[in-house]
Amino acid sequence: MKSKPVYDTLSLDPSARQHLFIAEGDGVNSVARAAAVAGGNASIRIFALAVPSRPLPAGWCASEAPACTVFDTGHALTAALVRELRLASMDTAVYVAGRERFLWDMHGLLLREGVASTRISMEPAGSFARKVYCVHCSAMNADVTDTIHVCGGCGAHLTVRDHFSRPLGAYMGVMVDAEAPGEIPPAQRAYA
Amino acid sequence: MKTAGMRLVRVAAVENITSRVKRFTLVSADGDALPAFSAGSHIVVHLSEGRESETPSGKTWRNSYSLTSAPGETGFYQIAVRREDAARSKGGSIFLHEAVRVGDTLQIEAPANFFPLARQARKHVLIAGGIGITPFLSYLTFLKATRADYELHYAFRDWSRAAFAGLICAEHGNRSQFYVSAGGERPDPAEILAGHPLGTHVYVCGPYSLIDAVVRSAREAGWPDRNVHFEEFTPAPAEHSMPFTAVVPSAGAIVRVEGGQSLLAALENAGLGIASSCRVGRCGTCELTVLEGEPEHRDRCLTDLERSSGRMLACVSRSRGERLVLEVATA
Repeated sequence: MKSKPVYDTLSLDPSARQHLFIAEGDGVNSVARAAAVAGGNASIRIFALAVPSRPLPAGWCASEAPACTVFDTGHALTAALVRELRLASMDTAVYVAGRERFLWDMHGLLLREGVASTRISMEPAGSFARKVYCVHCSAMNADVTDTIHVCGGCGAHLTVRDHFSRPLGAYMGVMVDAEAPGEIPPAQRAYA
Repeated sequence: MKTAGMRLVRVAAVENITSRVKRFTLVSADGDALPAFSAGSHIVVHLSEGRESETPSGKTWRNSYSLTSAPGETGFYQIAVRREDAARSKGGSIFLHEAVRVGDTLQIEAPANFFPLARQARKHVLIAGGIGITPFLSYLTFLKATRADYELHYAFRDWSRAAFAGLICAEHGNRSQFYVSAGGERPDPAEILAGHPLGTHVYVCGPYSLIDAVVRSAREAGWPDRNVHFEEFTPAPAEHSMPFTAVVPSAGAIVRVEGGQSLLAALENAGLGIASSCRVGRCGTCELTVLEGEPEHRDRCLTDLERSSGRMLACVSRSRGERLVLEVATA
């Protein structure tokens, strides 16, 4: 499936000189790894979003370098990110680690703020539960783990496809029984 | 040789812009409306000394010129042609300056664009050297009309050679900076590129040395490659070109390519129609397959893999040896 995202393992972009890391939940581990490899010479800034179910490791962001800020809410992170990007220079690269829906929320924001798509790297971490877009009623269904999901917007039984929309940051959900109404195969757990 | 999209236009006006630059206004001569085009587009003008459209009796040229008129204007096109020195050009611009008059008809190809604006850019920085200002004229019209954030840096020898400077001052003066080389002023790419916000795109058109300096400077300043755009009017300078023979078995043709002549032009003159567009080694339209012989690649389009699998561009690339055997896809 061509649209299914292919992700990176975060590593410093050699063509850039300013490096901004954004971590959510389990993504902090990926960011810590990538930032450590970078060493002391690189100009690095880290934004981390604490997730209720995933407290940050002890001592995270405790030292002065690299410069690091922890946010409690997505709104606070977003606001700070926009301020940071308005002042950023053209030699900036951005690296995002966290759950898939977080990656694409950030991706959209970064593009809107002028970051080139070739300067955005993403590494998924934590749950692979999907955000599913119902093509019938346009509702977004969060945290879907099974192959068939009942849409929260219209009640349709949706088969969760691998077809992914970058602007929506969601996978496509289409009625599984469109051809034969009522014939619904059993759901299976597919992505945790 | 007719190419799809060819149309007949009539010269409605010829204006002297500077002592070396003339602007030609072209209107439709066959009753069809002229197509609208995107900012940065060019047309290829087919010129012929003999005035016979099917069997030219004299020299022929196919020259590419940026459309300087407004992208939304479909009643007429305008191109600005700088007269090149006879010693350093094939003569198409000289022919336009000396032999083409109001009322004459010309064959042109439909507009194509290898130098489009990045529509998602938050800011546009334009850098023009000499006649390289021409693609930016349609840019400026569009950017102003859409209230975009833009700035122009225009370098030229002296004010008498600054084509369209008056128009630019009047319409875009508050967003333009001029550099007069006769007065020692030269654009400094590093300075021009410093301090722009994320999402800025830079576009450069002019002498090869200017393009090279800007591209290098952008890379050194850490700009992503996709935010840097350039258009060349002539291919990057190459060493002296040796003549060679091009053999095209499928057409039963054996064509001599002279030292000062491109493979593309030689094949066209021999009656083989090769699809082409930019004619400076950027777009890939004139690609050929090499069956035998070793090509000398001078393009900025094909990847190493494509070159090693026997592909070459006819408009700029040549032969390392005496002979190339080629397969062409006729237009």
